[in-house]
Amino acid sequence: MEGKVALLDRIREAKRRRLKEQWNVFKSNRLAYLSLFILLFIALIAIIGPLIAPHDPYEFDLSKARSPPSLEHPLGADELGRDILSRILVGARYTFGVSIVSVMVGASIGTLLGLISGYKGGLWDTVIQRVNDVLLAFPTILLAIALVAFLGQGVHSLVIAIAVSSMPVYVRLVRASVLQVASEDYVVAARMLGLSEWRIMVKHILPNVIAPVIVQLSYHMGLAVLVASALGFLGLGVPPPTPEWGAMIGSGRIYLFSSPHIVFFPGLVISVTVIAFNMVGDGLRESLDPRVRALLRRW
Amino acid sequence: MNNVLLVEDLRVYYDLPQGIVKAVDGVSFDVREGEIFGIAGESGSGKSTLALAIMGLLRPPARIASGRILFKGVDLTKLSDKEWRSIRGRRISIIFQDPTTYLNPVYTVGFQVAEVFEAHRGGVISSFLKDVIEIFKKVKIADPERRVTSYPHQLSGGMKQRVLISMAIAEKPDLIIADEPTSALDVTIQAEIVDLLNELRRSLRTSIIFITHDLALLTEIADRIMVMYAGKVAEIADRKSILSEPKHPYTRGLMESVKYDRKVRLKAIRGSIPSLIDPPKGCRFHPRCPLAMDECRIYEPKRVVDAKGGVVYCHLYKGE
Amino acid sequence: MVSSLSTYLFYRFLQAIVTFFGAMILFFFIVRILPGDPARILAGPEASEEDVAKIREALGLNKPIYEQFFIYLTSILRGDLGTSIKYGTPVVNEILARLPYTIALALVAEAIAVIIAIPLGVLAALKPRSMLSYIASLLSILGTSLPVFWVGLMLIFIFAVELRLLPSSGADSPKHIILPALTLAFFLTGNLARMTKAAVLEALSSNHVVTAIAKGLPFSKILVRHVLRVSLIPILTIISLQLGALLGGAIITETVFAWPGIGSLLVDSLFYRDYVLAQGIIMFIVGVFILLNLLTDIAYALVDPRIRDVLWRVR
Repeated sequence: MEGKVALLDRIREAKRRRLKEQWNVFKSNRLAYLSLFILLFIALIAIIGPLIAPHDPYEFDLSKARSPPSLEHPLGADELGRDILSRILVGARYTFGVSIVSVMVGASIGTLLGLISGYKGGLWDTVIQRVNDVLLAFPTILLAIALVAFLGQGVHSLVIAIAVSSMPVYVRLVRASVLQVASEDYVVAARMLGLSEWRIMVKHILPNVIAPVIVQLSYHMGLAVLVASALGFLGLGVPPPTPEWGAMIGSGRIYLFSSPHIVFFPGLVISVTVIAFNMVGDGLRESLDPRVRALLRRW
Repeated sequence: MNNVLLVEDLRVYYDLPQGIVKAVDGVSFDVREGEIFGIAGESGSGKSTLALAIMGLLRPPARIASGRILFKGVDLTKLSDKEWRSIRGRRISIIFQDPTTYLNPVYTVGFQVAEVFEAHRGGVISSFLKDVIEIFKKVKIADPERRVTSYPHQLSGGMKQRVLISMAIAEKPDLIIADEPTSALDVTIQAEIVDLLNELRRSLRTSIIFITHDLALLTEIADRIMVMYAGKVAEIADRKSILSEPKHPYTRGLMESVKYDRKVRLKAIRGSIPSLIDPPKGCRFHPRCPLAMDECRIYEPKRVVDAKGGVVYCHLYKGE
Repeated sequence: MVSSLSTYLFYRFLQAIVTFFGAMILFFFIVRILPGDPARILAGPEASEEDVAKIREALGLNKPIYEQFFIYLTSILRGDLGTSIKYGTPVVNEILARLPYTIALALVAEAIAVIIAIPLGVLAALKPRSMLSYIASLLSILGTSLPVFWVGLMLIFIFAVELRLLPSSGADSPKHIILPALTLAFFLTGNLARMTKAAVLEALSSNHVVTAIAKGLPFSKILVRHVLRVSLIPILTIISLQLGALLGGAIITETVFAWPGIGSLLVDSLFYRDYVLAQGIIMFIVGVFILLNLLTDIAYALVDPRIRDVLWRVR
């Protein structure tokens, strides 16, 4: 009894150490580390946006329409006189927030399907793979456009559209990892011990395939921000006057010649956000990719 | 007796952010004409690094810090790329451990073997078809005419290894380095490959450096054996001596851990290999050595040569 | 003896057809399995009863579902994508009329991207600490992070407004293609350069390159046969992945520059609630996409002998 407890403690300790090691590698990539803070900052804004916005993002004042950056409107005013800074702050929850939620939903369902498809194989695998192929037959943006167009306007369509168009990648990714892992000894051992399939999938296989998923998540969220804002730009997705960053660019675009700031600032914010997601993704890949770590550790 | 290879006090270091890894730290030995010279050691002993160093295949952050590698009088550490090209594959060749990753997946195996001929004789690859078939016959690849057009993924592990061997013997080199040629294969195939190498040594009159972690295997085929530990030489002796009277405590430990006598329990050497960035002071083996004395903890053992030409680095022996 | 190459191609072709039918079915249901009255949702909140009825009629939503499905499938097989609500002309005609513009844009953009990105990627891999490598990295980060429409608008601002060098929209002259092509190319180059660099780096550090060196081969042959030829495989993957980005990116770019291709036609059709046209364009693009993927897979099979052995792949 003593021995068993001590062993479990040692295992936990080893896991903690490994996590710490991964975190250290991540931290050493300063760009990734900085980007993480940027993302957390944006997330914070997404949550408290309306509270700190200097103006009401929906209130328009035609006398101030299209005015350039000034003290009163630090980033200028848009075509209807609304404060751009406020709209960006409040818009964070639509562009950023929606992207994160949608990708999480899509990734979760996708991972689940990938697990089942890879582990159970047989008919499950065939069906899931065929459906996945069909989803992948649509270029991502096109699928998102089609879904949003036919689901009607609103945040819910945006979320569903991005979630569904994100899903297939994870199904493929996880399935590939599962196929590799499922033939390993500890899985075979678990099966022979008669553990239930669910238990095996969740406790034994999942932890070992999750690393590439996490890396992909970060890149994907960046991609989702681009897709969400593209949909907003095209006038699909959220209804006006919602201050979604892409929509701001879309409606302000006709005034590009005279008032480029309307287009410039939201785009800048989108760019910074996506760059941050990509940098974090790079950092995660460095710290989680066993090959890279092995290279650093072998000597 | 002629030396095909003479390695003098070779040091190979890796420059890593964590520190300098002294993978090979003052290794000296010689390989004679026509002999099978075995190098035994655990992973991390430096034996593979040694192999790469001899072939000039070290890549940064690895570098040859000091020492000489004399191949028939020519110092390999000082060769230019151009000079290397006429030596590699033709006068010294190497067989790697994992045949799957060491073969190019998009070319046929016949093509890849023919490349050796193309590199050293010039001409068109297709003109070497017959020569490749001949070599395949020599390494006992079944159905050689058909196999020449096979791709690596269509072959079994043992066959792929024979392909690598074909590449190594194509130009009848003076020295072949076999770096764990059997470690990735089944035991039965291992025996076949080892026999093949032995036979080739005789028919081609080349010297073979056989690197492996399996000391027992070496006692069966090597003429002389060098045991490495943590980047240094522990002992060099001929086959009989290693079997009957291993000198270095590490060698003894290795021999005892593979005793086939069912009445005796297998004895493992306690402890594990030390870090090569910050190795133990004095003799590197002292933390695990059952016979460690005070001086072992402070001074590095010096090279001691015995009457038969065997070499040992251990404080137990004071120049006999 | 049947060549494994042709077996693979046959199998792959069948798969493409099955996928296309699957896509059509999926799309059919996207439009119709909506809570509530699809015609009303599509018509939008400000539509009159007349508008709703028009849409319902045009999409055939008033008929029973199996009849709709039957009509849907048979008309696609006949090549009839319906009649546009707005223009009154067959959808196929509208598509074919504007298709050349999209193709031109795509080809020019991809050409620019390939010409810049692949050499850049290869050189960046061969000389990892050079200025070239940093440029490649920077370009790839920006190319994959900046929104296409924003880049397009910024380029318009710089070149059309400030510098008055290039036209900002439409397709009246050859000069008109420059900005849209550059915008789309920017998007494509970054990705392609990074992937090329990664593929070449991977090939460079692979073990079979060590074997090649150990054989005494000269550097040039090693580079071509054992590095480049092998990195062709992942590069093909990337190009096939790019196709999706290309088609999607074209939609946005065409909208920004009012380039009269099928991408902007799609967006316009959604704006005008001409769902028959929209549907037709979507199915068309999906069909093209599937076809292009099939072609890439064929190229793949020609390049990587392992793919041809179906038995080897099906584990």
